[in-house]
Parts: sequence; structure tokens; C-alpha cells
Amino acid sequence: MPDDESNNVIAAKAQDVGALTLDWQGWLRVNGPRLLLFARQQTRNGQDAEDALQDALVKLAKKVDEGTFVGGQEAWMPFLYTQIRREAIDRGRKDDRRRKREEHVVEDAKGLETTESGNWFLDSNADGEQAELVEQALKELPPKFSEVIVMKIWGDRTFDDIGKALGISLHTAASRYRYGLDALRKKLAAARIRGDI
Amino acid sequence: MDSELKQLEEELRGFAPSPMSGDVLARMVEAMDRWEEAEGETVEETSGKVVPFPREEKSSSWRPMWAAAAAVAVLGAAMGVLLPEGESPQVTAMSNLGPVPVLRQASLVPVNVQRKVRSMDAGMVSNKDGMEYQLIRVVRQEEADFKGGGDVGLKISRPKVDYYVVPVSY
Repeated sequence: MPDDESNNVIAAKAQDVGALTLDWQGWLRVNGPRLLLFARQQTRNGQDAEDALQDALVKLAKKVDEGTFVGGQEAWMPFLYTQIRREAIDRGRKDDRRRKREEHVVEDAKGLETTESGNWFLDSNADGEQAELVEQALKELPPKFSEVIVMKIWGDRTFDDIGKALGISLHTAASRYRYGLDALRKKLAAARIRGDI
Repeated sequence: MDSELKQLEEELRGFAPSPMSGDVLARMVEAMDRWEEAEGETVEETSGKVVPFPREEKSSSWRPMWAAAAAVAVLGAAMGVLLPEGESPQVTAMSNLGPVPVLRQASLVPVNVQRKVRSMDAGMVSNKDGMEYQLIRVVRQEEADFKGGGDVGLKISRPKVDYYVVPVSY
């Protein structure tokens, strides 16, 4: 390769490095919020959610870099939902073991409850109460319902995708979605009657 | 699904998930760019590591995964290697890469990683056709602080030198 050509390659590579880094960032800006929402639904506090999401993203980056990721970019989201769930389950187990080992279980549990988890949703109105109520209602639902609702509504996943990520059939995913949505409606209706909404 | 549930579905879609804060976004991007550090590999191997956002053609490469202990041992052997002296830097930049939060289970965990970059003009060169190029010498120095249990600590620094040629046009 002639000298001037190789120099141009060097210059082009230097430009690419900056652009490529920005691409990860751009992709995360678009898809990160829905993944973080799912991680928050899956974990017990905001820190665990961010850690679970980070570990899932690192696994994706590794597979992409090694060329071992099966599928194209459209397969990233299903992979990440599955991975976030695994990370959350692992974290939950470790946390349970840690809490059992600790002497002051009650104080520890209190500490976990008061951990800041971050708002799940943007405040769409001035007082932001509706977003809080929806978040609270989702938290009160059995996780097997809320995880399907979060993946379906805010993750735009199909029931087939959801079933694969959760290890259940397509029909079970659809059924849980309907039951969960119905339970959510009752909770929000109760809040309306109380005048919270 | 009845109309009431469909209406609720639509209402729920109106609530947008909270965006990731700048700090969280930066942390995620950094972790993705430097996944090898999370695997317990050496600082040298991960210096300047950028995972390319994939294009249509993906290069398949395989990098061996080193255990954290082996990585620390190799890095320890590199201690004491100093930057060459004798040339005064014209540009100095420091990028503080901050704490690395991912690696938690190793006996020694990195608490701070810094990359110092010095670039200096190493003169002019020309090719056989008479075209002139500016030769730039770039010295990168990776520094990592590791901490273990109690007062156990390890500081590692390692230089890396690259040359770049930039075509000069008048």
C-alpha cells in the first residue's frame, strides 16, 4: 500500500473510532429507557436495576465484538430482555443469601425498602401523580403479570418474544397480560374512586 | 380483550419510560466499550478498546479470557517500566476514566484507571515521491490502582508508544 494511502487509512480509522462510540450511545438513548424500565420492574431497587442492565449490555457488547452473537441487530432487544431477567434473578438470590447471613435482618430489609429506585415514568402532567400511581400499581401486581405488561406495552414485544424471554408459552404470556391488565385496571379504578386520579 | 382494557392499554402507552440520566448513559457506554475489563483482563489489552458498533460485515475475532488473578500477576510484572525521557511534550492530556464498577468478585479490584496521553512532534519525513509528512509520537501511559481486602493495594503503570504520520499540504 502506498504511503499516502496508508496515511489516509490511519486518519479514517481515527475518525471512525469517535463515530462508532457515538453509535452505541445513540442506540442506548433510544432503547435504554425501556430496558431500564424492565430492569427496574425485575429488581428490588434502582441500583440493582442499573447493575443488571449494565451487565446485560456488557454481555451483548462482548458477543458482538467477538462475532458470536447469533442474529442481527433486531435480535439485541430480545437478548437483552432475557439477560436482564437472568441478572435480576441472580442478584435476587445473592441478596437473599446475603441477608440470611447478616445478623440484623430487619434493619437490612428496612434499608432495602428505602433505597431510591428512580421514577419509572416521565411525569406527563404538571403534578406527575398519575405516573406515580401507575408505577405503584405495577409494583403491587404479581411480578409474573407486571413483567409481561412492561414488556408488551413499553417494550413493544410480541407475545412470542415475551414467551421466549420468560420461558413460557405464547398463550400463557397473552393470558398473563390480560389478567394483569385487568388487575391493573381495578387498582387504578380504586385510586380514581379515592380521588387520587 | 374488551374495550375497557384496550382503552387502558392506550392510556398506559401514554406514559413514557423515564430517560436514562447522562451519568447512567455514560456508565453504560463506558462499560460496553470496555467489556474486557469486566472479564478481568489486563489494562494493556483494554487500553483504547472500543467495541465497534457493528456494520453489515462483522469481523469475527476471539480473545482468550484471562482469569483476574493471572491478569493482576501479568500487570504486576510490568510495574516499574517508565516512560522514555528526553523529549519535551507539546501537548498533554489526561483522561480520567473513573471507577470501574463491574469487577467485584476478584480478590483485587480496580478502583481507578487513568490514561495519560502525551503527543509530540517528532519531525518531518518525506516519501520517495517527495511528499512531506509530519511524524507525531504518541505516548500513552495506563495507570491502574487495585485494592484488595484491608490495606492491600497495587498500583500499575505501563507505557505504550505509537507513531502517526499526517500528510502535510501547503
